[in-house]
Amino acid sequence: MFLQIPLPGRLGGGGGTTLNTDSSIAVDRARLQETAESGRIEDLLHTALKEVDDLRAALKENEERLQTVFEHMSEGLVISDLSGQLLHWNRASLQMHDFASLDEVLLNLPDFARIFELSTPEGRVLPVAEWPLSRVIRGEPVRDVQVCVRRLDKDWKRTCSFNGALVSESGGRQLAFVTIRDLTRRLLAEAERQKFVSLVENSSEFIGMCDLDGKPFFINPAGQELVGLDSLEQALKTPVTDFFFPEDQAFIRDSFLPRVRQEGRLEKEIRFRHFRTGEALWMIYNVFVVRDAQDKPVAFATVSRNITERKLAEEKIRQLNAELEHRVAERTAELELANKELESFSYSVSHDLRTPLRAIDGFSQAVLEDFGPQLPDECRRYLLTIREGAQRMGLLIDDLLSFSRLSRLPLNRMEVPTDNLVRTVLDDLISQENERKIDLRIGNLPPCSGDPALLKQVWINLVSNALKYTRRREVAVLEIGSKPSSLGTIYFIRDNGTGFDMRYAGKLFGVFQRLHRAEEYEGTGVGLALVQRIIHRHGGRVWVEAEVDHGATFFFTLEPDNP
Amino acid sequence: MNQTSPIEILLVEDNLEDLELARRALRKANLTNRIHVARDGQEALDFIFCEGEYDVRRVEESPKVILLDLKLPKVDGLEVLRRMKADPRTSLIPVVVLTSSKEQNDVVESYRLGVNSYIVKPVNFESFSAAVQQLGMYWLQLNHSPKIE
Repeated sequence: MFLQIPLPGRLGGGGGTTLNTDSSIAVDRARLQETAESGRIEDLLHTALKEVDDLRAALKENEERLQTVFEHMSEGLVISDLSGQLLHWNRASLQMHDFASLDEVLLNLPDFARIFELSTPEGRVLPVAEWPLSRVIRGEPVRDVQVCVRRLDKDWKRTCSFNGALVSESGGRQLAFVTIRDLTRRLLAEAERQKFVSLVENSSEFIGMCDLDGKPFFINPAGQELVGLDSLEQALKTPVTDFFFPEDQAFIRDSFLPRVRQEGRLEKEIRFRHFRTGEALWMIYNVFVVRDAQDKPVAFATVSRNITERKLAEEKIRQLNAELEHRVAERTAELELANKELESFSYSVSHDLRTPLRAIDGFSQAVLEDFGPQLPDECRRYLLTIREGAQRMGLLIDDLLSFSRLSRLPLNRMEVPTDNLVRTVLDDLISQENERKIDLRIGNLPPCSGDPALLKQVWINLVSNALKYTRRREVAVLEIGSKPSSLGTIYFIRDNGTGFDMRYAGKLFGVFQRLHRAEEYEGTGVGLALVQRIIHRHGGRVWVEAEVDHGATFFFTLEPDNP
Repeated sequence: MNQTSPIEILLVEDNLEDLELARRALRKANLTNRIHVARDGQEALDFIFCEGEYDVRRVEESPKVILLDLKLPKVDGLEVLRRMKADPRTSLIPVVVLTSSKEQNDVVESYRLGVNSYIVKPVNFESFSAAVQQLGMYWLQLNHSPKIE
């Protein structure tokens, strides 16, 4: 009806009739005349009419076929004349533009400006004169022109691709037609795809895919960069196993990938090998199976993370730890050696220093015993002084040894009933002072945690100390008690003895340090040093407050300052 | 007193002064007659096991008591003690460790090896001689040594 359609030759009937494309039938009069003259007119007419019928039928069939094609094609088809009057919309184009029937759309082109706004993909709104159909009407070629079509009254927007051309009818009339393809879905899909492509392309992870035989078909730029591949082309020529060190390749090929295939996904910390430098790149190699729409495995894909830095840090930590352990072991060995040396030192002190003292004392005594009566008094006094000196040195050695032994013995910590402990010590010591008047004031003494034997030594030393320095008082006053504090319980023992000048308090706890002359108060100067050593070993503190002639108070705690 | 045993006290002591003092103390307690002195651990072992210069002795003629110093040349006292106590012929001879050492390890090890008494030599001579005299009396006069078959 609109198009000039070439008809099959047989439709040119032998009777001189021909079918025009506009369905008119041309009759070749000369041939008809000729035929009429040569035969019976009746037959001739009959033949001619039959031919005409056949032609009409063929034509109708052809037209219907075309119509069917137009109506069922997925592309939209719109036809107008050169004035812009729309003549036809196929079904797809009606649907695409959201119309129910042809009646709505057989309008003039400018009328559509009320219904549609057309714009370029960049967003420039097109005047009607630049609409694809207008351009076709003007004779411009329209090839794959993308236009955004917005339907104003229904508020949707589609992106379509237009093609169009002018077609001449046999009668010389020209028609404009455009085909319209809706790109919206494809563009959306493309945009979605682009997002993923961009994700993969810009990801800093190693992303790659290979076929089930281990032949890569994609590696993202970060991945190529990471392993030192110059191009995707080079990457695609490199079998997956080549990304690994030779010693790992069999594992990847024979064990890892088959298991991925079985289990769907697998992860392993393993090294990639840099293709240019050969350096090791520690990766969390995460591989999974990619399946097609039919769930058939088609490829392996990997998204793997470079953990070299972490691995190096771990290795560094491991090395440092090993080094530390080594150093601790070394120090321990040194300490053990030092301890051994100290032990053998004190062993030999204990033996060898005392032996000559015994000789000095023993032979002085032998002289006194065997020759005493023949000696002048002064000589005997000297010999006694020699013996005293030797015996005193013996005591010093004993104290010194027990002091050094103390630092080697392990601390046997348990709950100690301080009250009982102090009373036992007092009973013991005061029973040796039976001629003295002692005013004993014992306060609250809560239990503590410590080594009972060592703490007993502390109390013995502190109480003997108090008894010693109150010796010249008519009544010795000893006050023993405790008070709570932020450092834990503070135990104290106060006496009304000689006291001392606080300027020398710092010397008090030193070994062999004495604040009084030996003839005033006996002692080796080890007792308080021992007290301090024991308390320090418990993590506690000991201190003293005193005043000359007004007594002294010793305080101590047994808990660490920062528990 | 067992008259068949010629030696009653074996005194193992390397230090001459201590030795003299010990002898003096024993003499004062009238215990001097049958003392034999060994000056180091090896000599003590030779005496006890009748070896070397003592090979004419009989092991069975064991001393009634051994006073043993620990810190000795050649073989130390603990080793002497160990070997004696390991041998059934000598394991029953009473041994008194007489030493300067108060070291805990020595005390524990001595008792572990089966010493009968452990005496620390005091610097004070009276205490020293009292200790020597007492243990001499005790082991020689009060205590009956087991007979070795």
